Amino acid sequence: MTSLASFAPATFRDPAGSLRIAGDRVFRTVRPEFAEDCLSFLRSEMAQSWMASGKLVETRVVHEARGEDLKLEHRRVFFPSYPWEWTPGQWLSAAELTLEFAEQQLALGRVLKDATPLNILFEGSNPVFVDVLSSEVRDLENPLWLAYGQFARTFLLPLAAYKHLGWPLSASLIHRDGYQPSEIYPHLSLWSRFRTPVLSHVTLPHVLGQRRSAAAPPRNFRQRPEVALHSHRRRLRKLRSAVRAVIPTLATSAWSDYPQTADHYTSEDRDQKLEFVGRILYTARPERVLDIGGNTGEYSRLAARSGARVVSWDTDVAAAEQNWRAAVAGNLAILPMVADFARPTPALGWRNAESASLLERAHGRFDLVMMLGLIHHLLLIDQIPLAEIARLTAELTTRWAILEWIPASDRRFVDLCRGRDALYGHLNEFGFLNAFSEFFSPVSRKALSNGRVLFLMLRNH
Amino acid sequence: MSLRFRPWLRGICTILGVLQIVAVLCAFERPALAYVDPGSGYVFLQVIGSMCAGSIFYLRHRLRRMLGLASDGNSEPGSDSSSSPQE
Repeated sequence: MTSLASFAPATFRDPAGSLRIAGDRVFRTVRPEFAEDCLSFLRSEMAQSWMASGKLVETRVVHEARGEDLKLEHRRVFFPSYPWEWTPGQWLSAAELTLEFAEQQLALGRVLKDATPLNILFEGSNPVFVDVLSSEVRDLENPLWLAYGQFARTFLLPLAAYKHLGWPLSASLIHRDGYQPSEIYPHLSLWSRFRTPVLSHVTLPHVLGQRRSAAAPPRNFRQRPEVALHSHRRRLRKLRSAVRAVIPTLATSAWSDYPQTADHYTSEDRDQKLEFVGRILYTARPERVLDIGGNTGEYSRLAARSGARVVSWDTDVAAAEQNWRAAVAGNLAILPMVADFARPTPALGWRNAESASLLERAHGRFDLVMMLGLIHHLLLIDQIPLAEIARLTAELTTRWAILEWIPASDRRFVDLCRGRDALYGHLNEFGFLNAFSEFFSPVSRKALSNGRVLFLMLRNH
Repeated sequence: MSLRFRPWLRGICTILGVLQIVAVLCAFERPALAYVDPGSGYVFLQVIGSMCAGSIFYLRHRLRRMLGLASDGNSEPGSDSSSSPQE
């Protein structure tokens, strides 16, 4: 991480304070006029129990003095991920945590003042609410939730657009504040426009928003406190149903079925590969594993069961979703992400400093990187030279790499080569080892009967 | 109240209802209080939703009182409409 990025403000839009990441530490500054309220929330029973259960980011007070900025330090989440890198299941999980947080705030006489997926990070497969400044004292007679529109725009509408229009969730990368109802409405079929929850969260807001284009929330719309509380609870209940209604059923793709349909592996090859990788994981005992091209997470789960914290990247949403569901079901420390090693997520936001790039987050964070069945794709589809693959791998791992070399005679290699033999047909194991030798030394080699070769490599220092 | 006044009453109620809606719409023109964009359509929906929720709350409470199921007399909504905007 560069020194500039290390000290750039990560968030600053909230007038109550800002967040800075300095190396491995995360600091939040709260302006004096908001300090007391923030401390009152952090010391509440709800905040303490949420921190203990890992649902709210662990926070300690670093500096507290009357009339001065309040300084907080948060425990760093192992690997930050952003909504544009999440699977649909992660979106649902983040939305449900946000609504649960909002619901519990009501009992404290508080309210969630912003409700965006950017308030959530994942620790393994568990969502964590990280914006402690999102909680504020509620006007007990006000039945309106001002963050309702933001929740709809940033959670519901991207999910509805994904389900009904096939717009990828990764498009949230270019929509910081989500979709406006008017962006989605014209593309929906007549039937979709009147379906729940699209009718109440796209169609009606679009029609009403057109009529009242410059509208702001009414200040004097009041209800008795118990009625206002009832309105808030009813709204959150309805939002929970709405979010569940826009989650698509588990989709499949060519890659999500890959472990079952990979006919170029015999069961013996598969067992040998599992045995080789498993033996390394249980002997090297890495603490932080990056599984690049992790697919449905077969090897990520192996790593997680050996005790490592795992981040698993794959470009296929359906495969990553399966990985996610299996991680949740097995309560495994795996963070599946929809991410492309060849086209990594860029840095975003103001001064490119609000969201770090994928590689900036990954740089030197892992002590073992796995690239199984991936290198031929990088070579032949993404056209990345072997030396470049080796260089980047060495930037991500501090110690180990498990790599799979696929020879030019392999059926999949031939399929992907598509007649470009003059360019790639000469590539062989010797050339592969040569390209990696500048950064790695081979420690162990295992040839499978299908011709593929597995390597354990140790990074040169 | 005698029957011949009912059309009068109905007229007054209608005017009050219209004024109430106008009052809500006028209230929309005030500046936003949140740093996030509340969204015009969503605010309008919330106002309608809160009115419905308030009415349901009120009716349910009255029904419970009638059936003798109410547990707390203090929470009875007052004679002023619990869901009406106050200008």
